[in-house]
Amino acid sequence: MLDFKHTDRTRREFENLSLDHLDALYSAGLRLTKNERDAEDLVQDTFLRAFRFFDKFERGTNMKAWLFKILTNTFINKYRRRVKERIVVEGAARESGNERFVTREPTESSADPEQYFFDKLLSDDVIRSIDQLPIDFRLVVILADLQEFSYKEIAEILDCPVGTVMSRLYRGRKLLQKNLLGYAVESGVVHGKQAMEISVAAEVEEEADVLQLKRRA
Amino acid sequence: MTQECRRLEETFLHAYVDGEFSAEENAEVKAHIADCDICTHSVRIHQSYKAAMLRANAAAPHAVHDALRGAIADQVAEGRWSRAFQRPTTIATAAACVGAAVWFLAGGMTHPLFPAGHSLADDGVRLHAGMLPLDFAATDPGSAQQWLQHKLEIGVRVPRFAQGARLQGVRLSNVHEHRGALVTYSLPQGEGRRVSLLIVDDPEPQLAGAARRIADREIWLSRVKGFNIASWRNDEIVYSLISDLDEQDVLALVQSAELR
Repeated sequence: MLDFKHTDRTRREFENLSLDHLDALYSAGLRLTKNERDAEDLVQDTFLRAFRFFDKFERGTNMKAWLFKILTNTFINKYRRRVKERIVVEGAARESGNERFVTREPTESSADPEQYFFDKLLSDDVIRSIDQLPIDFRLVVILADLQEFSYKEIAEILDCPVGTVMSRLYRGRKLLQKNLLGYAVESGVVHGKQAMEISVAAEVEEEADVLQLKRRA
Repeated sequence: MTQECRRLEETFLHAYVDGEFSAEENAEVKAHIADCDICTHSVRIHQSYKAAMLRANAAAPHAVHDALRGAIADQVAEGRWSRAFQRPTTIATAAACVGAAVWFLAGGMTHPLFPAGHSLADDGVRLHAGMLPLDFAATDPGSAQQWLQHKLEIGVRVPRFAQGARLQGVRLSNVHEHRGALVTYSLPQGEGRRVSLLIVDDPEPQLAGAARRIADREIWLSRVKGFNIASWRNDEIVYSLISDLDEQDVLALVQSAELR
């Protein structure tokens, strides 16, 4: 009988610590699996695994990071295969050293924070752009920019060096911003001419070509 | 200036905006960007990028919250059974129960205390967890009560809770052949937490659970699939309050109910 009480207490403690992070895990799960059904399953799998291994959780340490480690592992082991994603890490974003998301000169309008390109974006375009990222970039971008984990936490969650996190994050963001610009032009949030101004230093030919195409379209 | 700043943007400014630096390092970067329009601009752009990303976050639907609590409760229950069956005495008891059940079934299905199908509590939990759409949305118990009395043609009461549970609306839900309704309240804890009040026209001779006397009313408390249920009877109508609240919170809620 004592055993039963213990389980109820454990369950209450687990729920108190973990349920606050449900929205965060669901949101990340949605961007990983790209659909609500799989996200729901993934999140439920994650919580049940976490509950099963709750005695392994060191009290007082970062519960959110612990849950995200389980989430990413569960996703990689189970759902990734299901989603059948090609793993394109290296070479997906070629080294693009000088690619920058700034105007060449700060302009008057850019002094007003309301006028920034990203402020005008539609969330749907942001979501589409995230979903387009290859999985390894998507993972770090989700963890850093949607969930605001530190580089060190991300390194622990993904079991990789901090340097890897930083380079993936940098390249993931560039790739995402490139996608975003494309969508923003497409959906009319920015015009081709504006996009030219906003984006990208002139020396990045590849980028300029993309924009030329968009403008012609 | 630009070459140096460009390097600064790529390696430092993102990390700066990402909050990776110590207070001291932050002060250094701040001192630099105060004099540098290009870096100031880069910082602002990265900030606006991060804000746009945060806006892309989604909250889990209520149904996900509910399903998850149910799943955790189920796992606790499962654990209990598997642990129980490691003990020889429980196995013996279980065997005796099976024997008794066989005997009971052989005696026919005529036993009055065991109506066929699910219990009221099971149905209530299913309706509560189902997040079904409301037939009538109302924040005022008076109008919800009027609407229900008209639809059900029984004298139901829609209580008001002093404890912060706020009425969302009602849905007509017959339980087996009994007329009934599900009244939904949202809880101040937020995040889609709510309680349901299942109202059924006298469905069972005996309410499930352990009886307690609260605020001059006989309240039966039971637990199904991780949900706590408090039931009471009023004018031949059974009211069951279903939620994932702790037993104490449920009792406090019942105590605060104003039956108008």
